[in-house]
Amino acid sequence: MSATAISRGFVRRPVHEVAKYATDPHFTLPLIEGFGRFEYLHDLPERGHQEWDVFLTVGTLHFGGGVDVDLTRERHLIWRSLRGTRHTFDLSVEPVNDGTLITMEMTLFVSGQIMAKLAERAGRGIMQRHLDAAVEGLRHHLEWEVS
Amino acid sequence: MSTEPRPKTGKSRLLKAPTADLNGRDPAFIRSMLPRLWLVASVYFRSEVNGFEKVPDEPVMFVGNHSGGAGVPDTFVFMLAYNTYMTVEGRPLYSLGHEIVTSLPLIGTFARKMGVVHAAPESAATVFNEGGSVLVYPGGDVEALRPWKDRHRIVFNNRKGFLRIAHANGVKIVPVVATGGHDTFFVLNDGRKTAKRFGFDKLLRVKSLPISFSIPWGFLPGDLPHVPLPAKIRIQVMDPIDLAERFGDEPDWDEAYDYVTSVMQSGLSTLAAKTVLPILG
Repeated sequence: MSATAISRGFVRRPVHEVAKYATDPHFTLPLIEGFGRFEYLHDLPERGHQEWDVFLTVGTLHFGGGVDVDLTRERHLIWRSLRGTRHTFDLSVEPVNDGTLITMEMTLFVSGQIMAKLAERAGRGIMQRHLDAAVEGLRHHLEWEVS
Repeated sequence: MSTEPRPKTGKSRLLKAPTADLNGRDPAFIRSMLPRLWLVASVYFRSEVNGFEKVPDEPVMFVGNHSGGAGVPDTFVFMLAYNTYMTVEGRPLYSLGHEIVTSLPLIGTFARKMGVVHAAPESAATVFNEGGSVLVYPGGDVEALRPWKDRHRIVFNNRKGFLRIAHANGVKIVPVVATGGHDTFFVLNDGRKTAKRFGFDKLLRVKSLPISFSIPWGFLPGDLPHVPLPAKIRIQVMDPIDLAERFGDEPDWDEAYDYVTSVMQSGLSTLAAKTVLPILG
């Protein structure tokens, strides 16, 4: 059983400028307050892949774990879980008019039936609010704090 | 009989509010209300207020996002937190309010004693000159009655007057974002066209007449004082913004507006991310 949340935001900067920053986890993750814990661990054997620890702080829970960050796709920041909460994440940027559209998508995988359904509903809302905050934080930083 | 011209009280044709009277604020009354407010804020709304350490020791303009319709529960939580952090005898806080709030019998008297004054540039200048701080909600009724789906959005409706007032008076803006207030009742739609069709915008200076659901009224056009649902309220005071320092002596007001609303939107979304379940917390 899975739940997906998607958030989008328009940034008033050209796509090549946004992509340079937004797809770099060293730049993006510190800007997202909800990601209370994150740490680069090491490069993975597969070229362009890095292992990070990334956790969202959700009340009494720490949602996340070890992830495989894939930096090979242009204009994307993608990861999938290796340990901990099973999930995937995809940040993409694309040109729109004279700016850039940032899209963040997160999918959570939950085991079970009835309780899983409830957890999935709650989880989707939690992920949505965190992604909305991440998009707004990234948008503000790119529009106003980066020269 | 005074020959002084009567100060402008806004564009409303039906309501004539008293002029700004700082003497309306009653510290003894505020002190007596604080325990009651604390009980409601702590037990009913399970409130959290953070960030007062960011407020500089000088008159400032607190700029908040307005929620909760006629109830405005987060305003009372903020006033409780402010008056206990700064103390009742410390720098006084005056809230600039709509003519409706300051004119009504009973409610108006209560509001004025708590430090609500009629919203006008002259009121703010008077407060700053007296060493007080001001709380404003640029979004006003449009924001307070925004649809529930937009509860985590800043909706200032392109109103820039607060920027001009802060800049003209040389005070910093301190953004204050709050969540939970708009979970205390439900607004189903926008309602701006309805307000315009019935002339409420000109008669009462009310720009929004949406359909809401509240206790005990059920479904209602607009809003009336109601029993708020016990939603968890969170408030975050953010870093001050010095408009003169950032935008100079003659700011581009569109740019300044975009910046302040961007800061607040980012802060509001971040605060909203702390919500685990709507209403419950």
